[in-house]
Amino acid sequence: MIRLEGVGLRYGPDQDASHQGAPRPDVSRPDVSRPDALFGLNIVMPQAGFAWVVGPTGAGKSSLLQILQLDQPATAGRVVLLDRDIADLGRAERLALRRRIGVITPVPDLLAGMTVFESVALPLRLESRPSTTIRADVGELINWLGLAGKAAQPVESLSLGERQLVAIARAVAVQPGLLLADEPTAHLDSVLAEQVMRLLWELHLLGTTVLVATQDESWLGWQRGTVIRLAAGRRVDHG
Amino acid sequence: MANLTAALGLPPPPRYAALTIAAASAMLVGTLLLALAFAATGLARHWQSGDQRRLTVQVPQPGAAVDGGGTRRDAVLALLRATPSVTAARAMPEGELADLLRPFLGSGGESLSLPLPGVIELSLAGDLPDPAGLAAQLAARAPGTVLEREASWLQPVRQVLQRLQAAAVVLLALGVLASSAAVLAISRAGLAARVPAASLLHRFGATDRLILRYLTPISARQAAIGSALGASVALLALWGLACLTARLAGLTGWPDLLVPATLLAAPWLRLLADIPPGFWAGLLGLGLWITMLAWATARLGLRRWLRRLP
Repeated sequence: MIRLEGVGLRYGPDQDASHQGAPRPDVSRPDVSRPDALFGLNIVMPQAGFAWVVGPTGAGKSSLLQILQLDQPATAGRVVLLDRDIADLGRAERLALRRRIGVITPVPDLLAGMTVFESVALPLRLESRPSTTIRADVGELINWLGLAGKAAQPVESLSLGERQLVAIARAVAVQPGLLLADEPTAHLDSVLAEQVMRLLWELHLLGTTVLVATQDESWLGWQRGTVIRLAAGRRVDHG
Repeated sequence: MANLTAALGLPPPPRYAALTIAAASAMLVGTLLLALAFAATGLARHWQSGDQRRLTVQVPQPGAAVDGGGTRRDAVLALLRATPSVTAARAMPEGELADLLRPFLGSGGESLSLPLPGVIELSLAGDLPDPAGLAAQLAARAPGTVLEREASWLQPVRQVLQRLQAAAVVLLALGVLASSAAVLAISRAGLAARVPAASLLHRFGATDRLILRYLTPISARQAAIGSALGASVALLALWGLACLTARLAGLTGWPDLLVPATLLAAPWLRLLADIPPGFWAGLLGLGLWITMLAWATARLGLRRWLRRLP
């Protein structure tokens, strides 16, 4: 389950992990040089939920995903991820939690010099999964995404769209408890985009909680899911 | 590290060429300064050992006869050997004297018919009791004979060498300090090349230890390679300098050194044998210091960066 209670985020020099969960200092005098990215967000998602996070540029979609992927501590409120209050977690527990969170970024962040197979297998190897399992799982995933003939190719030789597919395969390879996708179809054609969305939906059916941030609201009618609509850092869908 | 890379299918960690160049430059400067410090120390020690206990006596017209038979040189030698506290008196052969003068007179010096004095070297057991009395006795036995006490002209030379030695040590310290600062700064700057890989691995829940094991040994390897390169270039330059000095001193002909067989045999061995073990130890220490500095900077910098991540 995911629960956000009154979560706020203010970018600034005093923001670090130690502020996680602590009440924000004096908010009665707004500091215009350090604008708030998120205000009092309340979100509840059950396990295996599927949510669309929508809103225009600057609405706070990426900031919300950064908090959920533990890259950015909230400066106010409480965050519970996969039934764990992240303010209570030590460093080792946070690392363990990270392994259960899959992340898809708008621009694929692959390590140059790795092959397609190695890139997708990396999170599985970090979890010390058996090599036979890795070969089978990664092979299946690569086949499904139409990259079978390119498994041994270095990722830098692929097109942007193909690299995005590799990054998506890598994020879902461990069947994470929570999958955060920020504009996952940004560099894909419509056929591949639908294929990727179908993959995310199937993961949700298999028990993964999925949040997809997108500006393309045409996807909202594609599958039913919770809609979290943001505008200027606030939730405006009355959910 | 290789096992880790293979086990996780990771690419070789990103290199930072500037670190290799910085380490090579640091080692080059350090080696040259170390050689200067050792050379100054060796020179000072050499002249220090001459000390007060050596005398040189110059006898004009050494072969001329004196009353009572024998040459002027023989008469002076007999007097010196009978003097208390003189442990040895050696007449320098003419060939040896010609060798000493060759750098000044050239190879044709012997055919110039210059009136060279006879030179006698004395070794003393202690201080000479009465130098003025001895000089008077020598002048009486062979007029024109000069007693030259090395200590009188060695003193200022020794002072200059002591200052040179101190200056070389200070220069070495400053050079190592400046080079270390450069290696440190460039090693830190090189961390930026490793941030994307560290960031990605961190996101996948890799431990800091694993990330450090993957990304920091490359700094040590690059610094070690740079140090080896820098030391090699410096040693080559020092060898060239030693050959040039030898040639200027007339000890060996420069063309001889260009013959491969000679190059690989005598000069190398002689030069290597002449280098004090302390120099090699210093060289090794310097290389290790640069390598450790690069590794520790990378490790501490990356660790600090990882610790800041949520």
